[in-house]
Amino acid sequence: MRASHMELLDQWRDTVVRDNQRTYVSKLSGKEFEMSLQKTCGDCHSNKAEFCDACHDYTAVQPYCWTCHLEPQEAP
Amino acid sequence: MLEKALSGSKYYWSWIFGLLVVIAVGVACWFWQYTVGLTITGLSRDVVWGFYIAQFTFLVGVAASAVMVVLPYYLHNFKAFGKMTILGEFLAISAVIMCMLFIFVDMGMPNRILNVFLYPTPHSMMFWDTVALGGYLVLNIIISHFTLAAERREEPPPRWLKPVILLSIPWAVSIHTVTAFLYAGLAARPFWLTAILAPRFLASAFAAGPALLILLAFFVRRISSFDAGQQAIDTLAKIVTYAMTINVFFVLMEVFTAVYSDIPEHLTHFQFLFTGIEGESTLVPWMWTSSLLAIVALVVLINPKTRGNHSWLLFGCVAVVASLWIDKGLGMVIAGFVPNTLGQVVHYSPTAPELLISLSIYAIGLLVITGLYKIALEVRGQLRKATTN
Amino acid sequence: MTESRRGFLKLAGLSAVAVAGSAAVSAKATRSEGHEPPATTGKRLALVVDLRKFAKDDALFAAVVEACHKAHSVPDFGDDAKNEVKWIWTEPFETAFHSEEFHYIREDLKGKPTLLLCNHCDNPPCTRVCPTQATWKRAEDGVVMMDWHRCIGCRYCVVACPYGSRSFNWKDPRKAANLAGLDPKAFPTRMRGVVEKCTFCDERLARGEEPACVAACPNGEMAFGDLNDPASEVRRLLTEHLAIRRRPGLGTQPEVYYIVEDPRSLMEVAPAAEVFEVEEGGHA
Repeated sequence: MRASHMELLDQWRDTVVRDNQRTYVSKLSGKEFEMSLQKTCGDCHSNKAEFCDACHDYTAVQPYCWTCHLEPQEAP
Repeated sequence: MLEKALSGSKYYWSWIFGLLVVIAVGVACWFWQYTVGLTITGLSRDVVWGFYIAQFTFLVGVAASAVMVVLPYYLHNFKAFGKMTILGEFLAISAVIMCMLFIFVDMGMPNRILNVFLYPTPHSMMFWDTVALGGYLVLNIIISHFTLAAERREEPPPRWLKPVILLSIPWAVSIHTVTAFLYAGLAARPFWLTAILAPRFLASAFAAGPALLILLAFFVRRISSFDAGQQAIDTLAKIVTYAMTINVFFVLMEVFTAVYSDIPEHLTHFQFLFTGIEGESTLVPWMWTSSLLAIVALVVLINPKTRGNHSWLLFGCVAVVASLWIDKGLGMVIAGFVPNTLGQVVHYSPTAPELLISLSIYAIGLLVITGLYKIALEVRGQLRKATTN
Repeated sequence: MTESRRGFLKLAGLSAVAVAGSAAVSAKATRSEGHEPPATTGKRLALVVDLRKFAKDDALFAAVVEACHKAHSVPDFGDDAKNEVKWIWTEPFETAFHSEEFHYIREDLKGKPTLLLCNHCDNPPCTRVCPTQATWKRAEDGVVMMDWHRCIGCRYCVVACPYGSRSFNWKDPRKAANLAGLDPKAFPTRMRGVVEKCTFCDERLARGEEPACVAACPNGEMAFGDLNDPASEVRRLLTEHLAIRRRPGLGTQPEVYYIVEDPRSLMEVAPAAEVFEVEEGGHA
């Protein structure tokens, strides 16, 4: 996931926006997920600083996901 | 060969420096625009294309007009244009570069520009315009490079170049035709929905471009010993005269159709341009200036006595360029948006940063043409020295 | 019909490699097809706005607009018309149908706010001009979609839309006061530099819900459904009432219909018109 999450996200966004398919079925467990950065990813990876920024800062990449998508908020 | 652009007199360098200052100001404005968005322009929800796209349209014409020297020289073996063709091709290169920059600064997401090629879309005229302009730039770079290099070695140009040059002739026509199709195929914009738009674009281009070329040739003759030749100037002047006459004729066709048919959604745009509607009359003085300049230019150019006189010809060419710049670089694009698709009268005028960015693109164009003309003049100056020694 | 037209466009586009002129021919062919009856296969989602019902509740307009704009995190820049972004809005009836020139219209229609939004045309000019297919017509149900990840912000679609339904993000939408502190599960905003518009709530359709504007109407002031389904509510409404569309003469085949007339007033003139079976009461 660490190495290729961007490819998954890229695939997901095309599948949702362009093909109108919103459910991802895991090939390993058969579990279903809604392909949604904010809802599905954000549910567990709810700390943007740790899950996104830490590596992105280190590798000096600036993805612009969050200029539109809303970042998860830590439960107080 | 490029090194020839890197040595020159004090005047040469102060001219270059002046251009660089203008460019720097524009680039700074562009970074500002890139950061906060196109909101710093005068564009709005109703007038979504404005000064940038209008300059693009005008300059596509200038680029296409190189064909007016290339065609007689290569197809009709009109030797008098021998010295002029390289100036025409260099003008085309500079104009295409400016066109591309004007498109670039107009884009909301310039960092995504490659999407046009990643997702090629044949049903979009903008896709074809990109292809046509890019191809035309490449063609002109190849042609001018190899002809000049051959001239430097005092050899005839390579044989394979001839078909490339012939290809550039219809290609030049295509760039302005496709640019007209950008506008003329839209049911939403009755002002542009006219079959004569492409012919009109070509006529105005073949007037404005060669007029600019005459002005450049005069200027070059002043600052160097390079002379395009009297016959070349005379023939170009005739081309400008015919093209301008045809252009004015086409414009009158448009006016007749709109006025006599009296269809409101066609007529209203002409009213916006020439009388103003609902108090919105920003372009009225400009359009009348343009019309007046067109008439004056025709009088000066059609009369063989004034056309043959260099001062009058100079004046006529300035009038042609100014008239057509107003017509295409202001009126044509903006009038398509006023009134808007809901029939509402809306206002647009460019802002200072918008004008500064545009000015800097023109400065980049001048820089390119200065460098390229310098190379051409040096190559030929060397030749002359070699023959006189 | 739509499919064959799309196929034809592709073919015509490809063959235009040498001469761009042939592409103009394809545009012509599309235009003439635009006046043919609509396609009969597949789903064709459409919206019916009942202006008679809206005439009774002036507060409803604001509620509908608010429901849409809130559901899609549309920025609100207040009175700043220059930077305005809107998916659904109102114009006076005569402006909405300005090319029809209603001079002597009924008092209850005169100047009445009329809801405007993307028409999700059957033959959309906006998708035809887009150089990157960032906007396209969804084959399965006819929704004209937007891909905000792909849009290059050239605004050609805005120029080509005859209805003023598209907005460009002239500045960062997040700068709008109403978009501060959005819920993490809210609809994503857009960024400066892309075009946006109504998508018939494709995200709600995916969950089997009606568009937010329709859901905001308490008494069926707006109806949404499949025109190709003879039993659908929208089909029934269009059969029973006189409905108009914006600028049908352009051949775009808009899929937003406006019911303007009470059929009973028609029956007074033409009593033979038994097709108008009025079931609903209360709008006499």
